[in-house]
Amino acid sequence: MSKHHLGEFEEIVMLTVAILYDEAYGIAIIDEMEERLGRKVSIGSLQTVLRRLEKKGYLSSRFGEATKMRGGKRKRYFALTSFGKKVLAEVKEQRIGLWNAIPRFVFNE
Amino acid sequence: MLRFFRWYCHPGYQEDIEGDLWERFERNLGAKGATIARWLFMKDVLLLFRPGIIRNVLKTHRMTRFGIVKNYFVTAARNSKKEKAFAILNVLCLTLGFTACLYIGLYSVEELSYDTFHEKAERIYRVNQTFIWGGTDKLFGSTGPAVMDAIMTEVPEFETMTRVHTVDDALVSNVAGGTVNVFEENRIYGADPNFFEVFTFPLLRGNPKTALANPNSIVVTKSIADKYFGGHDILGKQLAIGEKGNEEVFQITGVAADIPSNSHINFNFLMSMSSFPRLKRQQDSWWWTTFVTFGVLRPDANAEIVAEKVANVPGKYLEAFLQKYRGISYREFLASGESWDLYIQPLLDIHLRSTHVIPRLNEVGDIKTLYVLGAVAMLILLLSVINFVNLSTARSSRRTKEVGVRKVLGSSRQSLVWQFILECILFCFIAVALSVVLVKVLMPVFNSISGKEIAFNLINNPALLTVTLLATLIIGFLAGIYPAFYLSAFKPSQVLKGHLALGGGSFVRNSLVTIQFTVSIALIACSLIVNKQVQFWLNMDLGFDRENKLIIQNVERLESSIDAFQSEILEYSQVRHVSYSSGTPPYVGDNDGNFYLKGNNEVSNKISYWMIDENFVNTYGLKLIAGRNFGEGFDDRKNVLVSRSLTKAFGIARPEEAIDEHLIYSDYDKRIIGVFEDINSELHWEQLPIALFYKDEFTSPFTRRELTVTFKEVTSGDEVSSLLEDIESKWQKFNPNAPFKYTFLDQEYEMIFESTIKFGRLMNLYSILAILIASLGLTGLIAYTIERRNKEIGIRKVLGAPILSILALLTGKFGKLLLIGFSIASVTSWYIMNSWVEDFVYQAPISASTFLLSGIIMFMVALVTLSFQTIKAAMTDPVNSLRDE
Repeated sequence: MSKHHLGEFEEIVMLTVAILYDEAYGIAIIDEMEERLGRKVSIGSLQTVLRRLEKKGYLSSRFGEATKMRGGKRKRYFALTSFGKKVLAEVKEQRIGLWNAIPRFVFNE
Repeated sequence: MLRFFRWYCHPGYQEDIEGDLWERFERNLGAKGATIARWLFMKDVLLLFRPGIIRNVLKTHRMTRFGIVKNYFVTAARNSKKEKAFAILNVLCLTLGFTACLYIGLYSVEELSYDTFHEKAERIYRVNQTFIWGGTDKLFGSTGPAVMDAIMTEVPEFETMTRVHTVDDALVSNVAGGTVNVFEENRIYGADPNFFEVFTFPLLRGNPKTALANPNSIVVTKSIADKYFGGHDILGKQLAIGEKGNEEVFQITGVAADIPSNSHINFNFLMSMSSFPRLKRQQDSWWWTTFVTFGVLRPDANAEIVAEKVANVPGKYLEAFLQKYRGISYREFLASGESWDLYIQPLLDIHLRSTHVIPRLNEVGDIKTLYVLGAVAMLILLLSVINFVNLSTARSSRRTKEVGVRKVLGSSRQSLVWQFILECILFCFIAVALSVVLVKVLMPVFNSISGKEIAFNLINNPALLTVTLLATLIIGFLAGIYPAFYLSAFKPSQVLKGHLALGGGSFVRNSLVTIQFTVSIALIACSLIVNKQVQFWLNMDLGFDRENKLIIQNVERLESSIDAFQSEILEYSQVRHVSYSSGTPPYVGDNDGNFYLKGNNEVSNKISYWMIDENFVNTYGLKLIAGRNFGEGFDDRKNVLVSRSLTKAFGIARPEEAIDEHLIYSDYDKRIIGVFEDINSELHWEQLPIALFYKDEFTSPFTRRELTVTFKEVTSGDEVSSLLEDIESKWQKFNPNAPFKYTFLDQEYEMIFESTIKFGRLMNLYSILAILIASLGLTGLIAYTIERRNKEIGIRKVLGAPILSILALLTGKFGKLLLIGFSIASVTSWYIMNSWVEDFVYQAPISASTFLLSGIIMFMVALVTLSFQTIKAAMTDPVNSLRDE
């Protein structure tokens, strides 16, 4: 087992952040997930995960410019850290390894 | 909802999440309508309430910090317990400093609050004018009655104006009310009907709009109402005001709440302006200067423009007035070197910023005094803080081990600094708490010294309380910061090995001691100079004798019995002279311009004049330098005595030449029969030339008469008081209804300088406090020095050093610091006091000996303080100090 455990939701959030690349802030992430996965996510659950990932060092964040929208509040853009990328890649390899380890006939049945 | 979110959210996350919430809300608003958007918003906020997002309620590292702070307090308490003397000394010094500051703070708050209670205070202005009666460059805080009307017409920026007419003290009695009370009352004013519109004096009874509308209406204060009627439900009752036989009856139309102590206008009685028939006849007078004129500016008015407009008023209105009453034009008036200017002054400036104006209503303070006291309080506080710093650093050796151990156990420098600062703040809070109690207890003493009625209500005054607490924090911080850095700098390896980090910091300590010496010596010098100035005034040669003089006032109330009364007093063996006159020093008699010498209308002079009897010259010990006194069997009604300065004013070279000249004033023509050496009755400003007329001239029923009784020099205080009782009973015999009023001449002079005398007393108090604090600090320092050099002293003694050389060794350093302090103090205090003295007409010279004396006082105090301990140290048996167990 890898020393970097990543939960399913965490993984999805990190992947979405990666997809959005430069535009990954709270609402955008939620929208993206909704669009691609059809999955309803509350701000609360997303933000908790984002903070946790940031604390673990998988994500970094920066403030954007304040605009007139959003009650004048700045956006916080998230991005993968190199550590985060490594972890994601690791997870992916693990998955692929798992897929590869499945005997062929299981799916062919 | 948003507030709820902000409350629980971790502060670092708050902004962007809130932004997300907004964004979603705005989108929902467009897509689903307001209600649903709001519901969704609420749902989101509630769902955000989860462990990752909410702020930390109990941070683990906060818990440990709390524990450490608790440990700091415990350590502080233990240290204080271990070194009780040191702790007590520290707290005592700080308490003294804070007490001084706190009282002066309360005093300043009271002084600065003058007249601020009026609703329109910031828009009210007083009209001042040139002091047209001469003798001073100051302005006059009152004007003629016509000034108001003139300004009202010319300056539309004034919303409304009102006048306060100052009336002489008078007898007041209640008409028909069981027991009749008769008192002599002061602060009786007349006021225009709109007085209560301008000023905020709440009426307990009566209608402020109409109270002063009708003739012979009067408003009294609650205490006056209680005094005469034993209650304030007295609308419609009557008061009689005036001398017996000439009383006027006034109807009470209002009862005002007692005037706050911080009011420049402090009336007892307020009569309606229409009660003065003379005012109807002299509406246009600019000469009758007993009217204090106030105006309320419109909110949008510009005071500078108004001042300019007001300044232009005399040019337009005085023309007609001067033509009518003096037969000259305004231009001629100006050409004769006279001026008549009008100024406006904000009401809020009257109490503290009008030393250049002669007040009509109430004595004023001086912002300078406030600055000086504030500076003095700060200095005292500085002294006590210096003590704290010095004692803390000096005693640092005691705590090096603690610092070392703390550092070894992982304490950072920063947290050590905070430890010592917190400790200092703790000391400050204890000191402040003690000084609050002290101020509360000592309030009556302070008040009697400063002559103020300051109530102590720190608790009810949140602003003051906050300032006090904040100041305590800041002072604690500042006092703690140097010792904190000093103490926390020790290197644990050295300290724990037993090397003491000593020697460092002694430069700072020495400078601080020098500052203490400087401040103390300067304060002593200043208070010596203030006291010297007062003594100078009180002992100044005025050209007449002011000792042993009793003045009985308002003897005209005895009417025809004056002569009998006078001769009865003369029968006492202790009485040397009795004379009566229309006035007595120190108050100038009436004065007026327009005195001429017969045959020369060109030269007119302003002259101060009294009416006297033939005993006056002897009673006051005036020195005649030419001619003769009144009396001596002549009919003197057409004669006059003049002062030497009067002859000079008219250009007469030798006093003898003035005899038989005629002095013309109005319709009177008087022959000069004697010239006396100049006297100086008024110390506030230059004395005008004086003319003394014979008693029965200018008489009218109301001319004031004062009786001056000179006692023989040997008369004791007890004799005088029993004599006074006797004289009073005689007075009662002649007129039982008139109050017997008396004063002593020397006391009257003290009254003139009351504010300076009070100032002097405060300065005395504060210089004593400064000496005390400085010597307490010295005690601590020397005790420490001795302790450290205990062994050295022992060895020196063993090797045969005499006691004196040991004393010199220990105190020599302080001598040097004292000398430096002395030179700085002399220069600064000379500079400061020189500018203080410059304000006075008669100045006491500032001599070098004053500074020397203050230096010597400080030296003596320091010597005594140091001696106690050094002598003890020098006398101890070296066996005790050298024995090593």
